[in-house]
Amino acid sequence: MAEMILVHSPKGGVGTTTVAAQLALLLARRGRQVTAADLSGQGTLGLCMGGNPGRTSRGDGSDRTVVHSGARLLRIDRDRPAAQLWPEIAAQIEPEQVLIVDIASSDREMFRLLAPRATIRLCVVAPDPATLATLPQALGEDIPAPELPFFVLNRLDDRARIERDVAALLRDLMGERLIGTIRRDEAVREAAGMMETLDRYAPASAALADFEALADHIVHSFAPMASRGAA
Amino acid sequence: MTDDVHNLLNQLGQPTFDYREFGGTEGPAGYWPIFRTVIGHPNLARLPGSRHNPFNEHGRAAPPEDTNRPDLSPEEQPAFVERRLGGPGAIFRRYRSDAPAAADASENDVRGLLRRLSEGHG
Repeated sequence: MAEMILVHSPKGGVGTTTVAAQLALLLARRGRQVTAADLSGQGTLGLCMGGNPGRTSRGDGSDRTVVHSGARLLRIDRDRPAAQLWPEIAAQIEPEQVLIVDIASSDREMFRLLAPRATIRLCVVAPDPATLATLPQALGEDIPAPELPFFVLNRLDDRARIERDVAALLRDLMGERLIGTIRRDEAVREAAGMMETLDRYAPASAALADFEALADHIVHSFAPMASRGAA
Repeated sequence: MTDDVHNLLNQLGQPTFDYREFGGTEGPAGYWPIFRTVIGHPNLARLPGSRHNPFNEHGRAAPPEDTNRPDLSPEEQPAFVERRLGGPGAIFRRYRSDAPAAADASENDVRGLLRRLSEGHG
């Protein structure tokens, strides 16, 4: 069975798709066979991976996969119930692969289906009061998952007092469950605007260095990920 | 030196460039009212730090912080409270209900200075 990293958030607009895209690219660069599944309903995962958001291999829509910098992207129309859609997706994933799934914050149906199946649940939060206010809801999900999610704090600008204070509180509360902090960096959006990968557009980017550290942490700290070498 | 700064300086061809890391952003965390609202929620008790976070000693909403410092002069008290509780910085203080009237605040701004100058020379 493939190892799944489910990237989700209790609140939209915090950069969940960016985190999923960077993890897909960086784990692929570390020799993992990665498939990234865009279940967000927005089709922007490809853009965040440095590609044309509308492009598929054949260009006629019959093939919904495309490869970006070594990571395979699977675009899926979220047009059926999760219970029908998931077996079709799972059938396309090889057992030795790492599957990274990006879902919309509002898609509770898919979240409840995938959360118990995920090897790593990665909850993306931003250092703002609105995200903080959604945290109790995120932790109160009645799902058959034994463990808390891991958290990534995204888009931190520590020049802003409120962000600094919220980040300090989240670090206190989350402890070792907070496995990454990504600094706010305009290069992330600029790379998407250029339809390039972040490492190609801005190799000295602060956010890229943080994403690299997150990818290293996942590879070294989670045994199933460490054993997923390239075939 | 962090990796991103090191890479940037290398790319600029300035690997020996003077570099100073400022530690000013690592001060004690401020407190905002929403912290108490969120931390008091029972769902957060699942988080590893909920039992020992500075705002919630026993898994309950933290009591109001004691901001009374009798050892400070009346002039120093507001600055202490502002520092201790976080919240808006000095630039926004004038919007608070207990802020001095605009006419008083203007005594220190450019317009007030010009008025005083014109009065002095009128």
